[in-house]
Amino acid sequence: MKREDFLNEIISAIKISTQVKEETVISDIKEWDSLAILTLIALFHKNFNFRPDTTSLKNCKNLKEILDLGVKYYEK
Amino acid sequence: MVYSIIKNTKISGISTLIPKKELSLLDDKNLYNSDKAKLDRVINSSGFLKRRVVGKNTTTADLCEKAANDLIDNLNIDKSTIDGLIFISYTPDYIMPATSYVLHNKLGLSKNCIVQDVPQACSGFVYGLWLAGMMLNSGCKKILLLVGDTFSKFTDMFNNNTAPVFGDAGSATILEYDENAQEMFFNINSDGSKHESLICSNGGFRNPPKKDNFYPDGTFKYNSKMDGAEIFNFTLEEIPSSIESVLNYAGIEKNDIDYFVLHQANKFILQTIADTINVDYSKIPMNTLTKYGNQCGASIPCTISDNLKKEVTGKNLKLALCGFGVGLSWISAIINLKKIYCSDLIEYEG
Repeated sequence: MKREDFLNEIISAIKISTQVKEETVISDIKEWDSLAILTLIALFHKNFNFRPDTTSLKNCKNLKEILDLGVKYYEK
Repeated sequence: MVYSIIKNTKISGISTLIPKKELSLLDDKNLYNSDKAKLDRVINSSGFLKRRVVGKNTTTADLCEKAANDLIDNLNIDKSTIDGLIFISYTPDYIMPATSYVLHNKLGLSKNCIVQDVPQACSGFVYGLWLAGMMLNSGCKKILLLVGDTFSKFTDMFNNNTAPVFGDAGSATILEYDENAQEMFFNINSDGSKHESLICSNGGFRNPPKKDNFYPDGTFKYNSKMDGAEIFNFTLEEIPSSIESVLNYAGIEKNDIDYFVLHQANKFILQTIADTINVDYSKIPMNTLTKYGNQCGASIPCTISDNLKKEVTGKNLKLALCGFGVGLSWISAIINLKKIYCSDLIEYEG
């Protein structure tokens, strides 16, 4: 799966209602809560059989940093 | 992982009690600042909707006592033949003595009885089956296993992670020594490095009660915390492999299992486990948590009573169980229920 496709999966699964891009700050996404974090963990697990460290996940400030957690798994 | 075969152990009956008082997420104005969209998302994703809670003066021991009496009456058990009582809970009556002694007295058991409390929560029922099996294989003949919790007394009503999740329940199971019983298989695990992921840190001797540990209305702040992300990560990492490995250890295929009865943590977790181990949702009951909340150790016996009563009383069932949570601990098992006594869910007024 390509990086941009995974971003679209995240947007769809968390039901983010506004336009976002990689630079979007997490705290500006109103749907971003503890449930979103669980959804994200499930998406990483389902698509890449990978579970990001939860501290690293919670410390991400924007969607780019979230996506960077799975950088070695995306198709080029 | 520790693997264990328990022989000569038959489960004769299960009885489960839930409080009559019902709460609903839809009625709770304190949660999520009444944000309806957020509430809908939580309900749809987690599966939680309703839970049952005890009154102020009711404890887990009260629920378990009534469940035990239901079994004793319906199985016509001579109480003097019960030579083991195990009470598994994080909500004991007192710091001292162990609640199992209190129950020993209330149930009128004989002095020829080993009693013990075991502090376990969500893994409690499966752990208890193993422990009872160990006792039956070292001299005991009949064990009363009592598993339950009243976590509604722990949870801070303003804590969105824990308050809407936990429901109260108590259960009783009778296990007997029987050389003809089919073997039970267990896989038992612990990870203390993550003990802070699910914790009530106030009230023990590490953080004894002090003046600022109380709310204005006088209730005690247990300081309960649950790191949902860490727990979810843990379940994805450990639970599917635990279930697969105990099946492998027992030499049993997934298709031979009638039902996978898992701790009712939340719907999202159960569905993800089901997807990972490639088992159809129809074989994994998930509705107990929606109706009654996360009942900790009692969630598995409650699921059996609520979903499978007709089947476990009418025929032989092969079940895969997995309890997981506080500790962190996770225990999987393969058991057989052979036309046992199983109560309907009994409601407790109080």
